[in-house]
Amino acid sequence: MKTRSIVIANPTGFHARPAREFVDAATERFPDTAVTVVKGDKRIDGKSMIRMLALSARYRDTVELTVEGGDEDGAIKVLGDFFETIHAE
Amino acid sequence: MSATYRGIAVSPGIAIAAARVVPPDGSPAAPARGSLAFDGAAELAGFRAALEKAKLELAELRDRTAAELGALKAEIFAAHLSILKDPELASEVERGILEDHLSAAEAARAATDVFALLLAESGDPTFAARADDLRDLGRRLVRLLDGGADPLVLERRSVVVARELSPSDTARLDRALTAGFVVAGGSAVSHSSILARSLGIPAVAGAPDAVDAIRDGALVVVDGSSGLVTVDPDPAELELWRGKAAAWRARAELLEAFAGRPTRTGDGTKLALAANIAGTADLSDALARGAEGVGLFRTEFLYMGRADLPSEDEQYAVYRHVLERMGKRRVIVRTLDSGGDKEVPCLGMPREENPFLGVRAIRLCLERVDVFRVQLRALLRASAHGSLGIMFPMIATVEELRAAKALLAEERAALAASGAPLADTVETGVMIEIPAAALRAEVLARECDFFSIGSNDLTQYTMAADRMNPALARLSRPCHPAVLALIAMTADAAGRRGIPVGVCGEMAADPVCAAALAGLGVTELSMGSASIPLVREALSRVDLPTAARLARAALEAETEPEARRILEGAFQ
Repeated sequence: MKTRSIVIANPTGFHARPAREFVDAATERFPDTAVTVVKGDKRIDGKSMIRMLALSARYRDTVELTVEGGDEDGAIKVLGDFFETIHAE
Repeated sequence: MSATYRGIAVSPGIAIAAARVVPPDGSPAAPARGSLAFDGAAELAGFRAALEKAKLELAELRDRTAAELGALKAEIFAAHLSILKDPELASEVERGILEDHLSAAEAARAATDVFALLLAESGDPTFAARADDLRDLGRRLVRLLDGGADPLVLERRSVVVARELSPSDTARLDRALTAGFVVAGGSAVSHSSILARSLGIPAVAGAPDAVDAIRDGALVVVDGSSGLVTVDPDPAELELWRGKAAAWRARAELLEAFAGRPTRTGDGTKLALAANIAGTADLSDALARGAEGVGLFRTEFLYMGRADLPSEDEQYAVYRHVLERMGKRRVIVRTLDSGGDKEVPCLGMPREENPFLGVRAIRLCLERVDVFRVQLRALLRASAHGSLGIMFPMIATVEELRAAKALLAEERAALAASGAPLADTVETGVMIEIPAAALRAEVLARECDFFSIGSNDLTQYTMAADRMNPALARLSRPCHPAVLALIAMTADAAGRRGIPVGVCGEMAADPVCAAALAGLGVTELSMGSASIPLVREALSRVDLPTAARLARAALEAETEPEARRILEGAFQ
């Protein structure tokens, strides 16, 4: 199990597109890895697009990413970097 | 008899056509709970088949939209596809069928409603808007399960009238046959409104009375510029609307052509029209409207609404992003302009009696050097990624300019010593918005690379009239000869030193003022992106020598209306 604490870098928040790309990457590239995202008192499955949207992670929010099983090193790097990237509008 | 209804104007233009009323989605059938005919396994199989079919439809819709309108517009369907693949959605529908004994259609509707509610309650408008996507998917599944015909297949040019139009509804419509939209729900920022604007289809949202009143086949006029919907217009009204529609189309075609052109006056002089932006979200629109640069990047958004100060890395990432998106085009970043009406709680500054005349902008930055240095370092590091100009706001004296430049030079030296890549030159400019700066522009021009006139504050400080106070609106007039005189002094001083001078207030977006400013020697006008094609078209009809003569004449006017009348002559 690996955990990484991240501050959302995208000025418009972790909106539909980055969220979609995150969920797609988690689902397709890391099928054997359980992905959990925690923000405040919310803990969600990082492979659920609906939960990801409902998390409404905003600019400067801190989130905690946990990956377990499968390619943990790859998942923590690739998925964590999604939060730390500015996504073009 | 004709009737007119008012809604929200969400996509401009005028449409006149017969109504195609889209019936509200089929009302839920009687619950199958306890029904003897209920066959859970069949419902489950039906749902799974519909789910796969919906995925195929969405992938096709995504690819078709990407090909026709670009990847950005196709994103919505990519998001729908990801929602559809969400394991929680499938398991909620399956639970509805197996435990609640709902039909597949009912279970799909119930599950999407539950999740739509979850998003609507997330408390953030950006994410709450996604609730519509869930309901949209619910309808798609229900339609596939019912095997129903598509109500959005049009046989003739029509105004589409509906309770609600989902993004996939609007995308499925034949563009050539869709004259306009009238929608009961929604707002200017709902998906269908945004898509309507990008498709150039006139649309009115928030018009439930109109939607209730319109019968299928009735003649409807949709004015997406004013939000008016007229049903069954009489012959005289119809004639009037046809004239308006033709004039609007001609104007829209003209302006569209101007978005992609360089800015030239009627006599062929080149000017630059730039965009004012207040965050990265404004960039796409700026580029689409043909901005030739960013004339004012307000950086306050980085500091507002938070408890701590933005770090150097965080600011660097934002500035770099903007510079990279604008490429070779110049980006003028205004350093922190807090105070006045822009409170920045994380700075912990004491309350002031007169915030507009208080420790704001550069005054604050020179007092809180720790905060200022962080921003300067972030800007310098970003300078390697584009064409950057740094502008200092609220400069009243040359000492302030020298102090700001000294800090910049220190940070530059420190960064260079550490080996950080920096642009060879980073231009520094003064925002001219205090009368003292305009009066002493000659001195300031010797020590900076450009001026940008902040006409809103310059007017406010010249007339000593709070621009937020509606009772003083008669004084908040940038065409007053007193304000024009200060602008002329600034432009003249810049001209003598050979440095460029821009204007980045509301004034720049007013065609009459824009012509006057060009006549006074201003070379860059920066404004909200939406105004760029409009001002560009207006300037193309201006003869610069005439505008110059009129602007000088306006300086001699006794009153603001007189000055304005003279300046309007540039368009005769």
